[in-house]
Amino acid sequence: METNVVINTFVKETGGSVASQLEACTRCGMCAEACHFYQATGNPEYAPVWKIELLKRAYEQRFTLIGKMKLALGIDKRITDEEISHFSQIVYEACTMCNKCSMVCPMGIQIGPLIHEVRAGFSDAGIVPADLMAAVNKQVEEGSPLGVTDDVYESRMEWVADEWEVDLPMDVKGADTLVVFSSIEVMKFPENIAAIAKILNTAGEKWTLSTHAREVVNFGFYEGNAERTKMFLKRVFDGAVELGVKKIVVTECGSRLRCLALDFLQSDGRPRRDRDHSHRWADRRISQSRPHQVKRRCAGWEWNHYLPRCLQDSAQRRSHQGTQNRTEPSGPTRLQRNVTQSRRSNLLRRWRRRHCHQRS
Amino acid sequence: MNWTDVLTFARGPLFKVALLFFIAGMAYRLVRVLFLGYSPDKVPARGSKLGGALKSYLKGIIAWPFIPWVKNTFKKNPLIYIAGGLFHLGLFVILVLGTAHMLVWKSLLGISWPTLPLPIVDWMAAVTIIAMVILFINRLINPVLKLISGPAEYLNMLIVFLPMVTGYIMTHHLWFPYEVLYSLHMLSVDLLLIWIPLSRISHFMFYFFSKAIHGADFGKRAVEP
Repeated sequence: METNVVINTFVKETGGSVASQLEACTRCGMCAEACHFYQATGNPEYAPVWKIELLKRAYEQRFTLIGKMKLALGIDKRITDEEISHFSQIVYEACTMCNKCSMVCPMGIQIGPLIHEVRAGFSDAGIVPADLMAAVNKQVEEGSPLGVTDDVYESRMEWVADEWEVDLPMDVKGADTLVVFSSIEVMKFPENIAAIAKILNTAGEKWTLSTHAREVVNFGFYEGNAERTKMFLKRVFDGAVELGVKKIVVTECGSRLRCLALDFLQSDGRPRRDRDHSHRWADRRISQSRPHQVKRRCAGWEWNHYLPRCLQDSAQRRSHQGTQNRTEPSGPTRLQRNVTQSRRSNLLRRWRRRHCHQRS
Repeated sequence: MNWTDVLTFARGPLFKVALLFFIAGMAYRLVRVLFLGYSPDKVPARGSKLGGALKSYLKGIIAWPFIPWVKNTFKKNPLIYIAGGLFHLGLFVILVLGTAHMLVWKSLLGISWPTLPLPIVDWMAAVTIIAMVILFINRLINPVLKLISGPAEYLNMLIVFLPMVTGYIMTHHLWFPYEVLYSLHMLSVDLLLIWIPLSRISHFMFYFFSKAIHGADFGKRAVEP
C-alpha cells in the first residue's frame, strides 16, 4: 500500500528535469567521496547515489522500455514495503541535504534536490522517522518545533532586551525590514539575537520583529512535504504583509533561505517580498562602506585558487617583488620583511595611490 | 564461410544496421526525456541562468579535467581521477584524431581533418586500455561501486573494452591474422553501437542536460557552479 503512494508521488514529480538527471548518472561512485556520512562511517549504503536508488528504479520501471523489459524478465524486481522502510531510514537519517555531492559529480547531477524528491514520496506515504514527525506536528500546532508559543516568544524577547540592554522593535508598522529569527536562537542562543539587533541598530536600519512571523525554521521542508512547507512559509509572508515591510531578512542556516527564496515563490507564482540573509545583508553594508577593499579578481574568478600551491606562491612572490622594485627602491630589502608587514604596506600603498595621488 | 565474408558482413550491412539502431535509439531516448516536459521556473533569478550553465559547461569540459587538484576528492584517490580522465581523453584522441577512424568519419560525413601521427595515437590507446583495467579493478574493490554495480555495469566495461583491445592487437599485428582481428574489431564495434542506446554509455548525451540544470541552478542564485 505504502509503496504505491510512494511510487505515485515519484511518478508525479518525474518531469524532464528529474528524468534527464537520472539518465545522466554513470554509476561512478564519485559522490560517495564528498558525503560526510559515508566518509565517517564507511557504510556504502550512505553513498548519495544509493539514496536515489529507489527513485531511479521507479523511473526505470514506469517510464523506460528497458526497465519494463527487465521487470518482465525478472532481472529487476518490484519495490517492496521492506525496501521502502529501509530506504526511509537511509534518506532521512543519513543526509543533511548539503548538496556537496553535486559539486563533485562529474555529470553535475543535483543529487540533493533528487533526495528531496525521494523524501517527498516518503512523507506522502507517512514513512517519516517518529522524532521528525513529532517536531513537524509541534510546528503545525504551536508554530515552532521547540515550543516557542506567543507568550514564550514575548517574554524571551523582553528578557533579551533587558539582559543585553538593546532595543528590539516589535510589530512596528512601516518598517523597511522584517527580521525573523529561528526558535533555536530564541531558546538556546539569545546572544545571537542581541548581537544582530545591536548591529542593525548601529547601522541605522529601520527594522522590526513580528509576533506572527516569528519562526523561519521549516520542518515541512526537512520532511519533504510540500503542503506543510507552504503552510509554514505562509505564516512568515503573512506577517510581512501585515506589517508592510519591503524585505525579509533571515538569520543563520542556508536551507531556510533556500526554501524561503525558492520553493514557496515557485508554488505561489509571484514574489511578494524581497528576502535576504543576515550575512549577505552585512556583507553588502560593509562593502558599501569600504569600496576600496575589493577582492583581487579577474573576470569574476579568483584565478589564484586554480593554480597548484607551488605556482601560487611563486606567482605571489613574483608580483610582490615587482611592486617593491617599482615603488620603493631605497626601502629595506625584501628579505628583512615578514609577510604581514609587506602585506600591510601593499594595502597602504594601494590606498595612497587611490586617494593621495595629488601629492605625489 | 571464411573470415573475409565475416569481415564484409560486419563492416557492410551489419555496421549500417547497428549505426541506424544507434541513431534511432538515441533519438528515441532524447525525445522521450524531452517530452516529459520541463516545468517553468517562476522564481525571480538573482543571477544569470544562461551564464551559470555556460560556466558549468566550461568548467566541466575545459577546467576540471585538466586541473583536477582543485577538487578535494582528487587528493583521496588521484589514480582513479587520472585514469577516468585519461580514458575519455584517449577515446577522443583515438576516435577523432586517429587516421584510420578519421577515414571512417570521412566516408560517413564526407569531411576530413588533420590527424595525429600514429605513434602518439598508439601510446594513447595503450594508456586508455591500462586506464580501463584500473577502473575495472576499482569497480571490483571499492565498496560503494560493488554495491551499485549490477551486470549492466560490467557488461558496459566489457563491451567498450573489446573494440579497444582488438584494435590495439590489430594495429600491432601481434597474434592472429589480420582479417580475423579486423572482423572481430568490426563485430565488437557493431555490438557497442547496438549496446549504447540500451545502457548508461549514453551519458555523453545526457551530460549536457544535467550540467545545464546544475549550472542554471547555481547561476540563478548568483553562485559559481
